[in-house]
Amino acid sequence: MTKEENKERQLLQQIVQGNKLAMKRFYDDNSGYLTAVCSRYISNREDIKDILQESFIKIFKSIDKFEFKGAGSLRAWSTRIVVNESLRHIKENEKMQFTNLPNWELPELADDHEPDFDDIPTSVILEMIQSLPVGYRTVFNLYVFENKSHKEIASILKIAENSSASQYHRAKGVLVKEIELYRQKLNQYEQSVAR
Amino acid sequence: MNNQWQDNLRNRMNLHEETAPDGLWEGIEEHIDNISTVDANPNRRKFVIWSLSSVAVAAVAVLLLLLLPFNSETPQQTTGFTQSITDIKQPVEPATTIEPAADKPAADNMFAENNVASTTRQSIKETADKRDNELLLTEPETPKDKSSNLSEPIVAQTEPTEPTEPTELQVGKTSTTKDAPTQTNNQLLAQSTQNSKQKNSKWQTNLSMSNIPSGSSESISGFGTFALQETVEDQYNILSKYTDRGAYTDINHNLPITVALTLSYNINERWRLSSGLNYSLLTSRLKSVSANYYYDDYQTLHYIGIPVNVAYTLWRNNNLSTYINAGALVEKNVAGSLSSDYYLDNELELSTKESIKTKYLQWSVNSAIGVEYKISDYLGLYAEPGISYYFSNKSELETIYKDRPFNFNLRLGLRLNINK
Repeated sequence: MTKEENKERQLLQQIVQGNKLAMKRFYDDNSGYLTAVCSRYISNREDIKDILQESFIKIFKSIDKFEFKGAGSLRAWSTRIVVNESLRHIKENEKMQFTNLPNWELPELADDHEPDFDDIPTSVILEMIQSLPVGYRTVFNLYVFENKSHKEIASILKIAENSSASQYHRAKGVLVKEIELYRQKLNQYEQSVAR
Repeated sequence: MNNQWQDNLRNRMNLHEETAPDGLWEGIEEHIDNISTVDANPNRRKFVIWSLSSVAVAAVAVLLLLLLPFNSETPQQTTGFTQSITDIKQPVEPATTIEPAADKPAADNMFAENNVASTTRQSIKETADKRDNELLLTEPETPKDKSSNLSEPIVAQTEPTEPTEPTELQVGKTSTTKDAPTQTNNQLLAQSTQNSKQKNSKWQTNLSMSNIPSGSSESISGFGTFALQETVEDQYNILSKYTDRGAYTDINHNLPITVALTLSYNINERWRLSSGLNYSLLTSRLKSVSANYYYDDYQTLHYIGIPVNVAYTLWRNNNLSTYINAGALVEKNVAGSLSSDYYLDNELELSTKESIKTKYLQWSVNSAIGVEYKISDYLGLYAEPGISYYFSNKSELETIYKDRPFNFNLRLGLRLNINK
């Protein structure tokens, strides 16, 4: 076992035994990342706080059932909990949005661009994702970050599979546009500064 | 690839962190006090069961070995043996239980003549003898002797002078003298008083305890902690903010206490092979102090091991024999606990207790010079001062073995003959 794994495993043991310092340590190590995860799904700051609180409590309560599977497995497990809590919140509050989305097949655009985020700071990327309509955003997140297939997404969100595919497609389209806009603004800014 | 951008995006966002909302931890904290801690006892229970059963298994094995080879002529010895064994197995304080050098009574040649006689040699044990031996066993030096002797192994060795009485009684019984080897008690006793060498019994069982003569301690500057060094790093972080000059850590490893139950097989007159089961208890204490904070760690580790040893007898006469002994030991840490008390401004802030363990085996080699004193024909007392070396393993546990791999120790024990 590597030192990292040992560290994780021991921290885990301590949390299981109710060591509060260990829990705080876990919080310090992971709250930044988990906040970022939650922020991809939820844009409202208050909601984010509530969801994260629920998530951490859930993590600490059920951590005794967690089986350590190597370095990073604890964070991955915690991420799943946060994602599930976020989805639960979305489903409870945004139900209308999902069912209202049109349910037809979108023709694949020939010149379908893939979004190119390469030179865009991650904080800006996060903002772009947050600016997506909640349906597109959720599908996009589940597809790209949680690696779910459209079939899985459909069953999670209780929508049709092609609805998932079309929303993902649209999400990409929106993001491509957002990136263009961002780059234009950046150019303009740089040019004005250069003058 | 089409999805390259996805992988890129995912990888980059995986590294992204956002500031956690204000008051999030406080909100969590309120609720986690209600979380019941997982019962840490399962480990403890498991250890207790494990150790009890291994001791029980060892005891049963020994008893069986004792009982089975006996022929019907010698029922009383059987009782004698089992009883002695039972006595031995009562937890004795780290005092030395000394073994009379029973396996080297006289008449080696005699036994060469009649192998059958070897089985009846045990018939020599009269009940009175047994009683004496029991007395010897239960009387063993008081713990205070032992602890004061720990740094002077030589002193402990002088203890064998006590068992002389039972041996004399023993000799007293061997009044009848006959020459022709027959299978009578007296006969064999007579033979044993003669100054000729006697063949040893084939099988013996040994019970011993040993201690390393001095514990180890070190003092280092700065903060230190035991096994969970990484886990408690956050304490370091907190504490390091308050670190003043003059923070120091005292680590004290206490002497390990080892109890072993082994079975020896005498290959011939000179060579003996033995193996068995071995239990060691390691305790340590760490105290890490600074101006504002300090903490106390108590670490207890339990090891179960299997020793394998070879002994070569250098010299022997009626009552004494000396030999050299060498071997190896592999031990497994089966359980352990660490309790930590954190003090802030001299007030107990947090007390935690957890089980710790390492999966890595502890290997060691040892060699010793042994002196054995024969208390009776079947009971011997031995002392083996020697040296041992503990190999480092990948374990992160701080133990005396890690701190001081090479050390002296003293093994004292009882040797019982079980003849085949």
